[in-house]
Amino acid sequence: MSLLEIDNLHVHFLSRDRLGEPRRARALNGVTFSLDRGEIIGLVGETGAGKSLTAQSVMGMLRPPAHRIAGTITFDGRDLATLPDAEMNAMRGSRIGMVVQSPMTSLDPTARIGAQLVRIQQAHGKIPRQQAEERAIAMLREVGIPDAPRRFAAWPHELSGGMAQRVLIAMALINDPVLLIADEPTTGLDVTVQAQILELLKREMTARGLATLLITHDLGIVAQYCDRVAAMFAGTIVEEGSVADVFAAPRHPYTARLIASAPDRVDLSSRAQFAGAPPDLTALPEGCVYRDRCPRAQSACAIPPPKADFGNGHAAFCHFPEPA
Amino acid sequence: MSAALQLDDIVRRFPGPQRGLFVHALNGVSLTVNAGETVALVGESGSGKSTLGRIAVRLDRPDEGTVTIAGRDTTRLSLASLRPLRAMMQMVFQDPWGTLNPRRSIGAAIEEPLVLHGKLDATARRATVLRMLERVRLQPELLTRYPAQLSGGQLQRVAIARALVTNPKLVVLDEPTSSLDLSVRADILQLLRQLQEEFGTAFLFITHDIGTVRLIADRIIVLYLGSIMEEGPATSVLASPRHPYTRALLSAEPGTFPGQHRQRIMLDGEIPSPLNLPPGCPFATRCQYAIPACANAKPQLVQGVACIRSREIGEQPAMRE
Repeated sequence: MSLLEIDNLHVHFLSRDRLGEPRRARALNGVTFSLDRGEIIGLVGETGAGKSLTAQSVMGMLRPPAHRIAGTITFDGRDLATLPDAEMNAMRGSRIGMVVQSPMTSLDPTARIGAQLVRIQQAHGKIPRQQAEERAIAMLREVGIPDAPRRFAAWPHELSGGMAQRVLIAMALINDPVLLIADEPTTGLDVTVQAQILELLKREMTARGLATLLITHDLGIVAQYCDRVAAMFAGTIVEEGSVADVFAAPRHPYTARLIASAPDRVDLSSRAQFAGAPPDLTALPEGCVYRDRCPRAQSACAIPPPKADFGNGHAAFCHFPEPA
Repeated sequence: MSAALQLDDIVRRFPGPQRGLFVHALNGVSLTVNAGETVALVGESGSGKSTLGRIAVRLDRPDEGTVTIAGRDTTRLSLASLRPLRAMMQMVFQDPWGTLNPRRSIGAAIEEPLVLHGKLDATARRATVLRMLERVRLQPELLTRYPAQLSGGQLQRVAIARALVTNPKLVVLDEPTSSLDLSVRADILQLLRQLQEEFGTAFLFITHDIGTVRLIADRIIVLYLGSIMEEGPATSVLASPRHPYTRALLSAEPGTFPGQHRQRIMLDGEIPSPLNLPPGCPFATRCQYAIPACANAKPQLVQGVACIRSREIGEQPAMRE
């Protein structure tokens, strides 16, 4: 049994258009994947593919107009999707940690960082203040913040972007989670700082045996830091497998095109077009969600694609997968 | 023939948080962009690259130094006398949503520079706009649409069409693909390359993304804390960077071939505050090769590299992690 199992998750945005007619945007359409202890999975895909929404579903952070229509999210044997709020609150920030993209807006600007690190410990258990402070300072040191006792008293606005991201990582890890969700953890940071943060995350994930769901649009980060990769398109996982297998021979036409447009692989002298129109989530095609954009599509694609299994956990949902 | 853009010894300071304290954004930068050439200006946040781009098209004015566009010194021109020259220099920004007026149609947005600068009548303008739309590979029916109806990639094509419609000598592109998805980014870069071949425009391409630089640059200029660290032809800078900062920057970029382990050079800390510039080499505080002499005087750019130790370092094998 895996640590996290997401099975057939459907999330829709329900609203009304200008004429008052109900409008349904199918944002997640049967997302299914699992994550084992100690494993790092990278979730990739274009804007609007549903990567962050998947993370928010796991964290129990869906708010109207987003609604879970179907599916289960089993974490450590319990279904998070039906967990009462109080129990979900206890889970969030302790057993499951999260690191998000914009560190500057994710820290409370009105509290010193030490106070925030103490607060998150006391929210999840009785711990004497002095002990919580000592742990906070040790944690700041662990995430590479120089002069940690002094930084303990710093305000968020006094930190650089890289330092603020280290503090967020400290907050995510201080209650010893078993699952870490990192949603674009280095987007917006400079590349030399990004390298520092990724090395820090990798070190912590390995040392703590953390299962990690890493959401990124940067294929390089997935190739260098993840064990497995899942590619999403229009709220569906279209392919998954080990990083080595998928990057060497992507089998779903969408993944193939995505990987071919990476800056260190793309051939700009070709006249081929790389992108297509973003899918309209209110009017997805029947069958395969990618078929309107797919160069390999045929009439059979109007029925939902089967799972094509290539062994070693590598699979694509496609009628006509690319040859290896 | 004169260069499309020439900047000489540009210095720009902004007032700091206290009296007498300045943000030293640019500290004596000189560069040239020739017709038909793409020069990538690479640097991290705070390096001064956007300020330099704004100065190039005279959206901002340097405190010292001169700006010459297609042979004309624009440094001290008033806004009014700059106006007729604006057709020669255009800009494309990072956020296409923010740069297009949401209440004007796509056609009107592309036509506007022609109204301001051209001598064409309405029929000729319309024909030009249509031709431009086709060149950026957008459907003619988009002409009457509004920005909210377009995707980010389509909007960036509109912004590019608008910048090129007056046939400028120089276009400054400030992170034009940074907010776009990978595949859309590839399409836009491909388009820019084709348009440059067609129009012979000079591009000053500002970016922090090494992957983009690899794809688009003819020459590379690496900026750090308002000074040029290294410059040269893209192929040689990418293949054998000589400045320690360039090396670290290139090695930090994760490649998409799993198991391909570049020797990653980790830098400590982050870019220092531009309020108190170190007296010597701006990079010395983070440089693994720094020696006491580095803090004494700012190194000059010699044969494309501003480092007093570049020769000895070049002869050493790259440091292991």
